[in-house]
Amino acid sequence: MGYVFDIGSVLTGKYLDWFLIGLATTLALTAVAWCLAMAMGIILTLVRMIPFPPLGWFVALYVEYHRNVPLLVQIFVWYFGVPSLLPRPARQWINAHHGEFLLAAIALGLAAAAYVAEDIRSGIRSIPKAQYESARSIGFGYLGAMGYVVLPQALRIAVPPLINQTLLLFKNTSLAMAIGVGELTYRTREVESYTFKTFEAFAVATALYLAISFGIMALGSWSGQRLRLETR
Amino acid sequence: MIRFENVDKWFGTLQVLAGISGEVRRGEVKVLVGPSGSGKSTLIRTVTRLETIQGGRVLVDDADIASRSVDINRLRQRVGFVFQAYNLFPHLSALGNITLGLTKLRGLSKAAARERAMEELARVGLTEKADEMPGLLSGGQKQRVAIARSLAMDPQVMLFDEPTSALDPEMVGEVLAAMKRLAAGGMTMICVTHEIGFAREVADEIWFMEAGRLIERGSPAELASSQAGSRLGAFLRKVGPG
Repeated sequence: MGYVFDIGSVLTGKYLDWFLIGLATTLALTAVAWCLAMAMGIILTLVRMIPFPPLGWFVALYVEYHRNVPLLVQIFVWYFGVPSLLPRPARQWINAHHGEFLLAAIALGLAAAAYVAEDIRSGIRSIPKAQYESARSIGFGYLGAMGYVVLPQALRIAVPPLINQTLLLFKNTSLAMAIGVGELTYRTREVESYTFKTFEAFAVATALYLAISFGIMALGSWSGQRLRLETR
Repeated sequence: MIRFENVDKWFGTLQVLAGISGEVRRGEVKVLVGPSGSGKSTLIRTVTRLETIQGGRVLVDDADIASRSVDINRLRQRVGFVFQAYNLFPHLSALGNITLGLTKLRGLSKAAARERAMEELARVGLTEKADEMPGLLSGGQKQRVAIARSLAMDPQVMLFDEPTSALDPEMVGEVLAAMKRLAAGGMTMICVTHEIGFAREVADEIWFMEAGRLIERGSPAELASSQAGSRLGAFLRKVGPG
Protein backbone atom coordinates (compact mmCIF):
# COMPACT_ATOMS: atom_id res chain seq x y z
CA MET A 1 0.00 0.00 0.00
CA GLY A 2 2.22 2.78 1.25
CA TYR A 3 -0.24 5.53 0.32
CA VAL A 4 0.76 8.78 1.99
CA PHE A 5 -2.18 11.10 2.67
CA ASP A 6 -0.95 14.59 1.84
CA ILE A 7 -3.72 17.14 1.70
CA GLY A 8 -1.21 19.98 1.40
CA SER A 9 -0.16 18.81 -2.04
CA VAL A 10 -3.53 19.70 -3.58
CA LEU A 11 -4.02 22.90 -1.60
CA THR A 12 -1.16 24.86 -3.07
CA GLY A 13 -0.56 27.08 -6.05
CA LYS A 14 -2.67 26.55 -9.10
CA TYR A 15 -4.52 23.57 -7.60
CA LEU A 16 -5.86 25.73 -4.82
CA ASP A 17 -6.86 28.27 -7.46
CA TRP A 18 -8.70 25.60 -9.40
CA PHE A 19 -10.69 24.58 -6.37
CA LEU A 20 -11.60 28.18 -5.66
CA ILE A 21 -12.56 28.88 -9.26
CA GLY A 22 -14.60 25.67 -9.26
CA LEU A 23 -16.33 26.66 -6.04
CA ALA A 24 -17.10 30.12 -7.39
CA THR A 25 -18.55 28.60 -10.56
CA THR A 26 -20.67 26.17 -8.54
CA LEU A 27 -22.02 29.02 -6.43
CA ALA A 28 -22.71 31.17 -9.50
CA LEU A 29 -24.47 28.27 -11.21
CA THR A 30 -26.54 27.65 -8.09
CA ALA A 31 -27.47 31.33 -7.83
CA VAL A 32 -28.49 31.74 -11.48
CA ALA A 33 -30.42 28.45 -11.54
CA TRP A 34 -32.06 29.33 -8.22
CA CYS A 35 -33.38 32.67 -9.48
CA LEU A 36 -34.72 30.98 -12.59
CA ALA A 37 -36.28 28.19 -10.48
CA MET A 38 -38.03 30.67 -8.20
CA ALA A 39 -39.34 32.86 -11.02
CA MET A 40 -40.48 29.90 -13.10
CA GLY A 41 -41.89 28.12 -10.04
CA ILE A 42 -44.05 31.11 -9.17
CA ILE A 43 -45.16 31.53 -12.79
CA LEU A 44 -46.11 27.84 -13.02
CA THR A 45 -48.04 28.13 -9.77
CA LEU A 46 -49.97 31.16 -11.00
CA VAL A 47 -50.63 29.63 -14.41
CA ARG A 48 -51.96 26.49 -12.76
CA MET A 49 -54.49 28.55 -10.82
CA ILE A 50 -56.05 30.06 -13.93
CA PRO A 51 -59.32 28.20 -14.38
CA PHE A 52 -58.62 27.05 -17.94
CA PRO A 53 -57.96 23.27 -18.01
CA PRO A 54 -55.36 23.11 -20.85
CA LEU A 55 -53.08 25.41 -18.85
CA GLY A 56 -53.36 23.08 -15.87
CA TRP A 57 -52.49 20.10 -18.08
CA PHE A 58 -49.48 21.95 -19.42
CA VAL A 59 -48.16 22.62 -15.92
CA ALA A 60 -48.82 19.01 -14.87
CA LEU A 61 -46.88 17.81 -17.93
CA TYR A 62 -44.07 20.22 -17.13
CA VAL A 63 -43.84 18.98 -13.55
CA GLU A 64 -43.99 15.30 -14.52
CA TYR A 65 -41.31 15.67 -17.21
CA HIS A 66 -38.89 17.40 -14.88
CA ARG A 67 -39.52 15.07 -11.97
CA ASN A 68 -39.35 11.82 -13.90
CA VAL A 69 -36.59 12.28 -16.46
CA PRO A 70 -33.04 11.98 -15.07
CA LEU A 71 -31.53 15.39 -14.55
CA LEU A 72 -28.45 14.46 -16.57
CA VAL A 73 -30.66 13.69 -19.55
CA GLN A 74 -32.38 17.06 -19.14
CA ILE A 75 -28.99 18.76 -19.13
CA PHE A 76 -28.01 16.91 -22.32
CA VAL A 77 -31.27 17.91 -23.95
CA TRP A 78 -30.47 21.55 -23.26
CA TYR A 79 -26.81 21.34 -24.19
CA PHE A 80 -26.93 19.10 -27.26
CA GLY A 81 -30.56 19.17 -28.29
CA VAL A 82 -31.87 22.68 -27.95
CA PRO A 83 -29.02 24.58 -29.67
CA SER A 84 -29.37 22.37 -32.74
CA LEU A 85 -32.88 23.74 -33.13
CA LEU A 86 -31.72 27.34 -33.00
CA PRO A 87 -30.64 29.47 -35.97
CA ARG A 88 -26.91 29.64 -36.64
CA PRO A 89 -26.26 33.14 -35.20
CA ALA A 90 -27.90 32.12 -31.92
CA ARG A 91 -25.70 29.01 -31.77
CA GLN A 92 -22.61 31.10 -32.39
CA TRP A 93 -23.61 33.54 -29.69
CA ILE A 94 -24.10 30.67 -27.23
CA ASN A 95 -20.71 29.18 -28.08
CA ALA A 96 -19.00 32.52 -27.67
CA HIS A 97 -20.63 33.22 -24.29
CA HIS A 98 -19.97 30.16 -22.14
CA GLY A 99 -22.97 28.36 -23.52
CA GLU A 100 -22.38 25.35 -21.29
CA PHE A 101 -22.78 27.46 -18.14
CA LEU A 102 -25.91 29.16 -19.42
CA LEU A 103 -27.56 25.97 -20.68
CA ALA A 104 -26.69 24.07 -17.51
CA ALA A 105 -28.23 26.88 -15.45
CA ILE A 106 -31.38 26.73 -17.57
CA ALA A 107 -31.65 22.94 -17.29
CA LEU A 108 -31.05 22.95 -13.52
CA GLY A 109 -33.30 25.94 -12.93
CA LEU A 110 -36.23 24.63 -14.96
CA ALA A 111 -36.00 21.23 -13.28
CA ALA A 112 -35.92 22.77 -9.82
CA ALA A 113 -38.86 24.99 -10.82
CA ALA A 114 -41.06 21.89 -11.03
CA TYR A 115 -40.34 21.14 -7.37
CA VAL A 116 -40.62 24.79 -6.38
CA ALA A 117 -44.05 24.96 -8.01
CA GLU A 118 -45.17 21.91 -6.03
CA ASP A 119 -43.87 23.37 -2.76
CA ILE A 120 -45.55 26.72 -3.34
CA ARG A 121 -48.76 24.98 -4.30
CA SER A 122 -48.82 23.08 -1.01
CA GLY A 123 -48.12 26.37 0.73
CA ILE A 124 -51.05 28.01 -1.02
CA ARG A 125 -53.31 25.08 -0.24
CA SER A 126 -52.56 25.48 3.44
CA ILE A 127 -53.84 29.10 3.47
CA PRO A 128 -57.54 29.17 4.40
CA LYS A 129 -59.85 30.24 1.60
CA ALA A 130 -61.19 32.90 3.96
CA GLN A 131 -57.94 34.83 3.54
CA TYR A 132 -58.51 35.08 -0.20
CA GLU A 133 -62.15 35.95 0.35
CA SER A 134 -61.23 38.60 2.88
CA ALA A 135 -58.79 40.24 0.45
CA ARG A 136 -61.42 40.18 -2.30
CA SER A 137 -63.90 41.77 0.11
CA ILE A 138 -61.64 44.76 0.57
CA GLY A 139 -61.70 45.20 -3.19
CA PHE A 140 -58.59 43.37 -4.40
CA GLY A 141 -58.87 41.49 -7.66
CA TYR A 142 -57.56 37.98 -8.15
CA LEU A 143 -53.97 39.09 -8.67
CA GLY A 144 -53.98 41.55 -5.77
CA ALA A 145 -55.47 38.99 -3.39
CA MET A 146 -52.93 36.40 -4.43
CA GLY A 147 -49.99 38.79 -4.56
CA TYR A 148 -50.51 40.72 -1.35
CA VAL A 149 -52.30 38.24 0.86
CA VAL A 150 -52.14 34.59 -0.18
CA LEU A 151 -48.66 34.27 -1.69
CA PRO A 152 -46.77 36.10 1.08
CA GLN A 153 -48.28 33.68 3.59
CA ALA A 154 -47.86 30.64 1.35
CA LEU A 155 -44.21 31.47 0.67
CA ARG A 156 -43.55 31.67 4.41
CA ILE A 157 -44.91 28.17 4.81
CA ALA A 158 -43.00 27.03 1.73
CA VAL A 159 -39.65 28.33 2.99
CA PRO A 160 -38.46 25.14 4.74
CA PRO A 161 -39.16 22.87 1.73
CA LEU A 162 -37.73 25.54 -0.59
CA ILE A 163 -34.49 25.62 1.41
CA ASN A 164 -34.42 21.86 0.93
CA GLN A 165 -34.78 22.35 -2.83
CA THR A 166 -31.97 24.89 -2.73
CA LEU A 167 -29.75 22.29 -1.13
CA LEU A 168 -30.65 19.74 -3.80
CA LEU A 169 -30.09 22.30 -6.53
CA PHE A 170 -26.68 23.16 -5.10
CA LYS A 171 -25.64 19.49 -5.08
CA ASN A 172 -27.10 18.85 -8.53
CA THR A 173 -24.84 21.49 -10.07
CA SER A 174 -22.12 18.81 -10.02
CA LEU A 175 -23.91 17.17 -12.96
CA ALA A 176 -22.99 20.17 -15.08
CA MET A 177 -19.45 18.81 -15.32
CA ALA A 178 -20.81 16.35 -17.85
CA ILE A 179 -21.12 19.16 -20.39
CA GLY A 180 -17.84 20.75 -19.40
CA VAL A 181 -18.91 23.47 -16.98
CA GLY A 182 -15.84 24.22 -14.88
CA GLU A 183 -17.60 23.86 -11.55
CA LEU A 184 -16.22 22.30 -8.39
CA THR A 185 -16.50 18.62 -9.36
CA TYR A 186 -15.01 19.29 -12.79
CA ARG A 187 -12.07 21.18 -11.28
CA THR A 188 -11.58 18.46 -8.69
CA ARG A 189 -11.22 15.91 -11.49
CA GLU A 190 -8.63 18.19 -13.06
CA VAL A 191 -6.64 18.46 -9.85
CA GLU A 192 -6.85 14.71 -9.48
CA SER A 193 -5.59 13.96 -12.97
CA TYR A 194 -2.69 16.40 -12.62
CA THR A 195 -1.59 15.26 -9.16
CA PHE A 196 -2.84 11.65 -8.94
CA LYS A 197 -3.89 12.58 -5.43
CA THR A 198 -7.37 11.15 -5.89
CA PHE A 199 -8.35 10.84 -2.27
CA GLU A 200 -7.01 14.25 -1.29
CA ALA A 201 -8.69 15.99 -4.19
CA PHE A 202 -12.09 14.57 -3.43
CA ALA A 203 -11.63 15.11 0.29
CA VAL A 204 -11.24 18.81 -0.43
CA ALA A 205 -14.30 18.81 -2.69
CA THR A 206 -16.31 16.94 -0.07
CA ALA A 207 -15.34 19.43 2.62
CA LEU A 208 -16.29 22.37 0.40
CA TYR A 209 -19.67 20.85 -0.56
CA LEU A 210 -20.39 20.05 3.09
CA ALA A 211 -19.49 23.54 4.26
CA ILE A 212 -21.85 25.19 1.77
CA SER A 213 -24.61 22.65 2.47
CA PHE A 214 -24.39 23.31 6.19
CA GLY A 215 -24.50 27.02 5.44
CA ILE A 216 -27.72 26.59 3.46
CA MET A 217 -29.24 24.45 6.21
CA ALA A 218 -28.31 27.02 8.86
CA LEU A 219 -29.93 29.71 6.74
CA GLY A 220 -33.00 27.50 6.58
CA SER A 221 -33.42 27.09 10.30
CA TRP A 222 -32.67 30.77 10.93
CA SER A 223 -35.26 31.93 8.40
CA GLY A 224 -37.72 29.33 9.66
CA GLN A 225 -37.59 30.91 13.09
CA ARG A 226 -37.70 34.44 11.80
CA LEU A 227 -40.67 33.83 9.52
CA ARG A 228 -42.78 32.01 12.06
CA LEU A 229 -45.82 34.09 12.94
CA GLU A 230 -46.33 34.43 16.65
CA THR A 231 -49.69 33.56 18.13
CA ARG A 232 -51.13 33.78 21.61
CA MET B 1 -79.35 51.53 -1.37
CA ILE B 2 -79.54 47.72 -1.29
CA ARG B 3 -82.53 45.86 -2.68
CA PHE B 4 -83.19 42.14 -2.76
CA GLU B 5 -85.75 41.10 -5.39
CA ASN B 6 -87.00 37.53 -5.15
CA VAL B 7 -83.57 36.14 -4.45
CA ASP B 8 -83.22 32.36 -4.82
CA LYS B 9 -80.14 30.34 -4.12
CA TRP B 10 -79.49 26.63 -4.14
CA PHE B 11 -76.56 24.59 -2.89
CA GLY B 12 -77.08 21.64 -5.18
CA THR B 13 -80.65 20.54 -4.55
CA LEU B 14 -80.93 22.40 -1.24
CA GLN B 15 -82.63 25.75 -1.52
CA VAL B 16 -80.90 28.06 0.95
CA LEU B 17 -82.60 31.30 -0.09
CA ALA B 18 -86.20 31.28 -1.25
CA GLY B 19 -87.77 34.37 -2.74
CA ILE B 20 -86.12 36.92 -0.47
CA SER B 21 -87.24 40.50 -1.08
CA GLY B 22 -86.42 43.53 0.97
CA GLU B 23 -84.81 46.91 0.91
CA VAL B 24 -82.19 48.67 2.98
CA ARG B 25 -82.24 52.45 2.63
CA ARG B 26 -79.37 54.81 3.27
CA GLY B 27 -78.65 55.22 6.98
CA GLU B 28 -80.78 52.25 8.01
CA VAL B 29 -79.63 49.42 10.25
CA LYS B 30 -81.20 46.06 9.53
CA VAL B 31 -80.53 43.14 11.82
CA LEU B 32 -80.98 39.61 10.52
CA VAL B 33 -81.86 37.02 13.12
CA GLY B 34 -82.90 33.41 12.92
CA PRO B 35 -81.68 29.91 13.65
CA SER B 36 -78.38 28.63 12.29
CA GLY B 37 -78.63 27.52 8.68
CA SER B 38 -81.57 29.78 7.95
CA GLY B 39 -79.65 31.63 5.21
CA LYS B 40 -78.83 34.91 6.99
CA SER B 41 -75.12 34.82 6.24
CA THR B 42 -75.71 33.59 2.73
CA LEU B 43 -78.07 36.49 2.10
CA ILE B 44 -75.59 39.20 3.04
CA ARG B 45 -72.83 37.37 1.18
CA THR B 46 -74.87 37.75 -2.00
CA VAL B 47 -74.57 41.55 -1.74
CA THR B 48 -70.90 41.56 -2.68
CA ARG B 49 -71.15 38.47 -4.83
CA LEU B 50 -69.30 36.26 -2.34
CA GLU B 51 -72.22 33.97 -3.20
CA THR B 52 -73.85 33.81 -6.60
CA ILE B 53 -77.60 33.57 -6.86
CA GLN B 54 -79.74 31.46 -9.16
CA GLY B 55 -82.89 33.54 -9.19
CA GLY B 56 -83.92 37.16 -8.62
CA ARG B 57 -81.70 40.21 -8.35
CA VAL B 58 -79.57 42.00 -5.81
CA LEU B 59 -79.22 45.73 -6.44
CA VAL B 60 -76.78 48.13 -4.88
CA ASP B 61 -77.58 51.77 -5.70
CA ASP B 62 -80.02 50.49 -8.34
CA ALA B 63 -77.32 48.54 -10.17
CA ASP B 64 -77.75 44.78 -10.51
CA ILE B 65 -74.55 43.42 -8.95
CA ALA B 66 -74.61 40.43 -11.32
CA SER B 67 -74.47 42.72 -14.32
CA ARG B 68 -71.32 42.82 -16.40
CA SER B 69 -71.15 46.59 -16.17
CA VAL B 70 -70.61 46.44 -12.41
CA ASP B 71 -66.94 46.45 -11.41
CA ILE B 72 -67.14 44.04 -8.51
CA ASN B 73 -63.82 45.17 -7.03
CA ARG B 74 -65.02 48.78 -6.88
CA LEU B 75 -68.35 47.68 -5.45
CA ARG B 76 -66.57 45.75 -2.70
CA GLN B 77 -64.67 48.87 -1.69
CA ARG B 78 -68.02 50.61 -1.20
CA VAL B 79 -69.51 47.71 0.75
CA GLY B 80 -67.51 46.75 3.83
CA PHE B 81 -67.72 43.16 5.02
CA VAL B 82 -66.83 41.91 8.50
CA PHE B 83 -66.48 38.17 8.96
CA GLN B 84 -67.21 35.99 11.96
CA ALA B 85 -63.62 34.70 11.94
CA TYR B 86 -62.14 38.24 11.51
CA ASN B 87 -59.90 37.04 8.68
CA LEU B 88 -57.13 39.47 9.46
CA PHE B 89 -54.00 38.97 7.37
CA PRO B 90 -51.67 37.25 9.85
CA HIS B 91 -48.48 38.31 8.07
CA LEU B 92 -49.26 42.01 8.48
CA SER B 93 -49.45 44.12 11.63
CA ALA B 94 -52.78 45.58 12.72
CA LEU B 95 -51.77 48.78 10.96
CA GLY B 96 -50.53 46.87 7.90
CA ASN B 97 -53.88 45.14 7.60
CA ILE B 98 -55.56 48.52 7.31
CA THR B 99 -53.03 50.30 5.10
CA LEU B 100 -52.82 47.48 2.53
CA GLY B 101 -56.01 48.45 0.74
CA LEU B 102 -55.31 52.16 1.14
CA THR B 103 -51.90 52.01 -0.53
CA LYS B 104 -52.53 49.31 -3.12
CA LEU B 105 -56.12 50.09 -4.09
CA ARG B 106 -56.54 53.75 -3.20
CA GLY B 107 -53.02 54.76 -4.14
CA LEU B 108 -52.42 56.65 -0.91
CA SER B 109 -48.83 57.33 0.08
CA LYS B 110 -47.49 55.29 2.98
CA ALA B 111 -47.64 58.30 5.30
CA ALA B 112 -51.19 59.22 4.31
CA ALA B 113 -52.35 55.62 4.62
CA ARG B 114 -50.77 55.37 8.03
CA GLU B 115 -52.50 58.52 9.19
CA ARG B 116 -55.84 57.29 7.87
CA ALA B 117 -55.36 53.87 9.48
CA MET B 118 -54.49 55.43 12.84
CA GLU B 119 -57.72 57.43 12.69
CA GLU B 120 -59.68 54.21 12.23
CA LEU B 121 -57.75 52.42 14.97
CA ALA B 122 -58.53 55.34 17.27
CA ARG B 123 -62.22 54.96 16.44
CA VAL B 124 -62.14 51.36 17.67
CA GLY B 125 -59.83 52.25 20.57
CA LEU B 126 -56.75 50.32 19.45
CA THR B 127 -54.09 52.91 18.58
CA GLU B 128 -51.67 51.32 21.02
CA LYS B 129 -51.93 48.00 19.16
CA ALA B 130 -51.06 49.46 15.75
CA ASP B 131 -47.79 47.60 15.36
CA GLU B 132 -48.97 44.35 16.94
CA MET B 133 -49.26 41.24 14.78
CA PRO B 134 -52.78 39.74 14.66
CA GLY B 135 -51.62 36.52 16.28
CA LEU B 136 -50.92 38.46 19.46
CA LEU B 137 -54.30 40.24 19.64
CA SER B 138 -57.35 38.97 21.51
CA GLY B 139 -60.42 37.95 19.52
CA GLY B 140 -62.21 41.17 20.34
CA GLN B 141 -59.21 43.24 19.32
CA LYS B 142 -58.88 41.31 16.07
CA GLN B 143 -62.51 41.95 15.23
CA ARG B 144 -62.15 45.65 15.98
CA VAL B 145 -59.11 45.81 13.70
CA ALA B 146 -61.16 44.03 11.03
CA ILE B 147 -63.88 46.65 11.42
CA ALA B 148 -61.30 49.44 11.20
CA ARG B 149 -59.86 47.79 8.07
CA SER B 150 -63.26 47.88 6.39
CA LEU B 151 -64.04 51.42 7.51
CA ALA B 152 -60.74 52.74 6.20
CA MET B 153 -61.99 52.11 2.66
CA ASP B 154 -64.85 54.60 3.30
CA PRO B 155 -67.66 52.15 2.61
CA GLN B 156 -71.21 53.37 2.17
CA VAL B 157 -72.60 50.19 3.70
CA MET B 158 -71.22 47.78 6.27
CA LEU B 159 -72.20 44.12 6.34
CA PHE B 160 -71.54 42.17 9.52
CA ASP B 161 -71.62 38.38 9.41
CA GLU B 162 -72.02 37.23 13.03
CA PRO B 163 -69.14 39.44 14.14
CA THR B 164 -69.32 38.42 17.80
CA SER B 165 -70.15 34.71 17.49
CA ALA B 166 -66.54 33.58 17.79
CA LEU B 167 -65.80 35.80 20.78
CA ASP B 168 -65.59 35.14 24.50
CA PRO B 169 -68.52 36.79 26.28
CA GLU B 170 -66.40 39.53 27.83
CA MET B 171 -65.15 40.59 24.42
CA VAL B 172 -68.56 40.78 22.78
CA GLY B 173 -69.26 44.12 24.44
CA GLU B 174 -66.28 45.95 22.96
CA VAL B 175 -67.19 44.88 19.43
CA LEU B 176 -70.88 45.71 19.86
CA ALA B 177 -69.89 49.10 21.26
CA ALA B 178 -67.88 49.84 18.11
CA MET B 179 -70.85 48.79 15.98
CA LYS B 180 -73.26 50.93 17.98
CA ARG B 181 -71.06 53.98 17.52
CA LEU B 182 -71.00 53.26 13.82
CA ALA B 183 -74.77 53.01 13.68
CA ALA B 184 -75.15 56.21 15.69
CA GLY B 185 -72.90 57.92 13.14
CA GLY B 186 -75.42 57.14 10.41
CA MET B 187 -73.74 54.19 8.71
CA THR B 188 -75.98 51.96 6.63
CA MET B 189 -75.62 48.47 8.08
CA ILE B 190 -76.87 44.93 7.73
CA CYS B 191 -75.92 42.80 10.72
CA VAL B 192 -76.34 39.09 11.10
CA THR B 193 -76.22 38.44 14.82
CA HIS B 194 -77.60 36.48 17.71
CA GLU B 195 -77.21 39.51 19.97
CA ILE B 196 -80.87 40.31 20.48
CA GLY B 197 -80.13 43.15 22.88
CA PHE B 198 -78.05 44.82 20.20
CA ALA B 199 -80.86 44.29 17.69
CA ARG B 200 -83.43 45.87 19.98
CA GLU B 201 -81.25 48.86 20.65
CA VAL B 202 -79.86 49.61 17.20
CA ALA B 203 -82.04 48.04 14.52
CA ASP B 204 -84.44 50.12 12.46
CA GLU B 205 -85.91 46.83 11.41
CA ILE B 206 -85.35 43.22 12.38
CA TRP B 207 -85.65 40.56 9.71
CA PHE B 208 -86.36 37.07 10.94
CA MET B 209 -85.29 34.26 8.64
CA GLU B 210 -85.98 30.58 8.80
CA ALA B 211 -85.22 27.85 6.25
CA GLY B 212 -84.18 30.32 3.58
CA ARG B 213 -87.29 32.48 3.93
CA LEU B 214 -87.75 35.94 5.34
CA ILE B 215 -90.77 35.16 7.47
CA GLU B 216 -91.17 38.18 9.70
CA ARG B 217 -89.96 41.76 9.76
CA GLY B 218 -90.63 44.87 11.76
CA SER B 219 -89.17 47.44 14.06
CA PRO B 220 -88.05 46.12 17.45
CA ALA B 221 -91.08 47.83 19.06
CA GLU B 222 -93.56 46.32 16.59
CA LEU B 223 -92.09 42.88 17.03
CA ALA B 224 -92.04 43.21 20.79
CA SER B 225 -95.76 43.97 20.87
CA SER B 226 -96.75 41.31 18.34
CA GLN B 227 -94.28 38.61 19.15
CA ALA B 228 -96.22 36.76 21.83
CA GLY B 229 -97.53 34.00 19.62
CA SER B 230 -95.30 34.36 16.61
CA ARG B 231 -92.40 32.22 15.45
CA LEU B 232 -90.07 35.15 16.11
CA GLY B 233 -91.43 35.43 19.65
CA ALA B 234 -90.64 31.78 20.30
CA PHE B 235 -87.13 32.25 18.86
CA LEU B 236 -86.45 35.34 20.94
CA ARG B 237 -87.54 33.60 24.12
CA LYS B 238 -85.19 30.73 23.33
CA VAL B 239 -82.12 32.89 22.69
CA GLY B 240 -82.87 34.65 25.94
CA PRO B 241 -83.58 38.15 27.13
CA GLY B 242 -81.46 40.86 25.66
